[in-house]
Amino acid sequence: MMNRREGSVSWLGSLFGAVLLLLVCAPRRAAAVPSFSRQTGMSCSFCHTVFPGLTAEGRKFKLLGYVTSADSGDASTWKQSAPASGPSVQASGGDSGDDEGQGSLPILASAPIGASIQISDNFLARPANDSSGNPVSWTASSGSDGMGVAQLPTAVSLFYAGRIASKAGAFIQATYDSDSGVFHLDSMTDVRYADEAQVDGTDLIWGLTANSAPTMQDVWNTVPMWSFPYLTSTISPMAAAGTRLDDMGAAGNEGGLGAYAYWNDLLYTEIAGYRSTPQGGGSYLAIQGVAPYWRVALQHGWDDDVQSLEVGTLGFAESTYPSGVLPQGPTDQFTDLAFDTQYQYVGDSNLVTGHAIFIHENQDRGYSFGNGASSNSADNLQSFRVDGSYYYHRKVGFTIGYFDTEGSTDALLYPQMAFMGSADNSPLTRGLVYELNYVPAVNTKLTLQYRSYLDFNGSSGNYDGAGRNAEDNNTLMAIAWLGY
Amino acid sequence: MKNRIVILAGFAGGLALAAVAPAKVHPKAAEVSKTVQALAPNQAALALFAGKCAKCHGFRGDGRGKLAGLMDPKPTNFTDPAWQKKWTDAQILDAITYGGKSAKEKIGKKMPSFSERPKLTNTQIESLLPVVRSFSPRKDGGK
Repeated sequence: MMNRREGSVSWLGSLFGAVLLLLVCAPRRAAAVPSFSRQTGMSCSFCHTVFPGLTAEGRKFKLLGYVTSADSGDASTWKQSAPASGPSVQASGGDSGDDEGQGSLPILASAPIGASIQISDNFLARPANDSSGNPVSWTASSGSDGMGVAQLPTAVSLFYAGRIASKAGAFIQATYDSDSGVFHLDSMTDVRYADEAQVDGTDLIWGLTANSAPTMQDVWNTVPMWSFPYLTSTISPMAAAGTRLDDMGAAGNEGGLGAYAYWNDLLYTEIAGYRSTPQGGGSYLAIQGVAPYWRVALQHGWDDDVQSLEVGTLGFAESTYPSGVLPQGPTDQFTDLAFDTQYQYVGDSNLVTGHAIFIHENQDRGYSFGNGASSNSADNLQSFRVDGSYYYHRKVGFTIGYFDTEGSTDALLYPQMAFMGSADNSPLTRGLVYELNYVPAVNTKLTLQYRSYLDFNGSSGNYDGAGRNAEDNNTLMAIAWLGY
Repeated sequence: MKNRIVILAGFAGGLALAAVAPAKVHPKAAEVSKTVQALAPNQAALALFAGKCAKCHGFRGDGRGKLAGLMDPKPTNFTDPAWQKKWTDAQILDAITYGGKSAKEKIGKKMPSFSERPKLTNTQIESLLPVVRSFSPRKDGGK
């Protein structure tokens, strides 16, 4: 008969594995969408450094609701007709709408649809086999030991990316994921209404955003939903512990509504609230009620935004019902506070970017501690990431990134377990990501990425107590991304 | 029978009126047309401006193109008489040719270099000069 502690460990082990499985199966980040280029009539480099990195113009395009278009305008513009005679500069493109005086419904002539495909090959440093020699599945469907996992395709995505109406637009992504074999709505959804105003002679952009996860709506490439590395291997084991800001979006069951303002090309502020759907009972952490999110960022550009610097802070606070628990009774509470900074140099030939973010999380384990799922009533977790990139003519470049997750030791949260556990009961995971990129065409990106672990789940050597070392999880990935 | 004739006559008359009635035009179209006609009768240059320049500088050359809202600094307003007086023809051609890379002219870094990408021929670049000048009425047509 299993005693309460063994039962708790078994249950917790299942939860641990499920969370890790979710992390390694998490949808890949979206990259650039050529439909934006078609809509604006501008090259991708107008809004992107190297996608998905955004320039100052790209950040404004997103904040203005994805609506800016070279061939459209407000209703009065669309009601213009060509001059009766003589040469003149005429607007090109067309759309439906009445002639003057009748009022018109400004509808795009064509929907801003895009698509992308990813193809990859992945290699793990040391096979992930159990004592019988059978491969341990890092992902749900690969069943592979990780030695040479080719995925054709890795993922196929469809996008609605662009203008809906004169002041409303969207970025919506749906993806077929080869690991899960499922076509699903991605956790990369952002629908906006935005407008501009003048405040004492200064420019103000304001808007509303309905989005799928905190930081999806952000415009700096420091935040978890948009940070390096932008593509990750499906077979690379990630840290079992992640802050809520890092992990939000992995389950894909939350959504939020926010309001933001960007004043004088200088100050960005936002407040939003998030809920889980449905509430409780599923295989995910369900948010109790509404979880607040806030964001403040200062940006300054100089030399016509050839250089820019951003410093900011963001935060998120939630109470959650653990996996499989109905929405009642005590909860675990998480409070994240983060600080970030970004530097860009966008020259004609040389492009340099740097990002850094630090997240501190306080964990009040009211439910978990009372149910034998955590050893401590309160824990903490910190996440730090920094990366730097250089590109030559936006054609070829490299990025180096460092990641570090560490926090309280907890024997029940981080139990010893082969491959995915921690002999030290510690969440410590840190390492480096090296990436080489070649961009032969504006809609094509070839990437060679190597992820190396200095520590994994608590230590560098024998981290799981079964003889596996952190460096055994090092992963090499070659991936091609093509967009339309 | 009489009613049918009246109706048919009215219908025919309506058709005739529709055939000769001027097409609907924007209230400002005639004004722009006169200015452009006086200085820039080159249809190809007008089309080139519309395709390459208007998205930032605007179809009226006022710097309020559809993409201008994304840019800082804003695109040049060619309708500004002070700007038209200050800039020589040579400076304008240099700006179009070399864009933000121009070592001579102080213009926004976002201005493309039309001798590179997108590449225009020298003839095409020169043809844009009268279009740029046309946005502010001038007596001498250039310096």
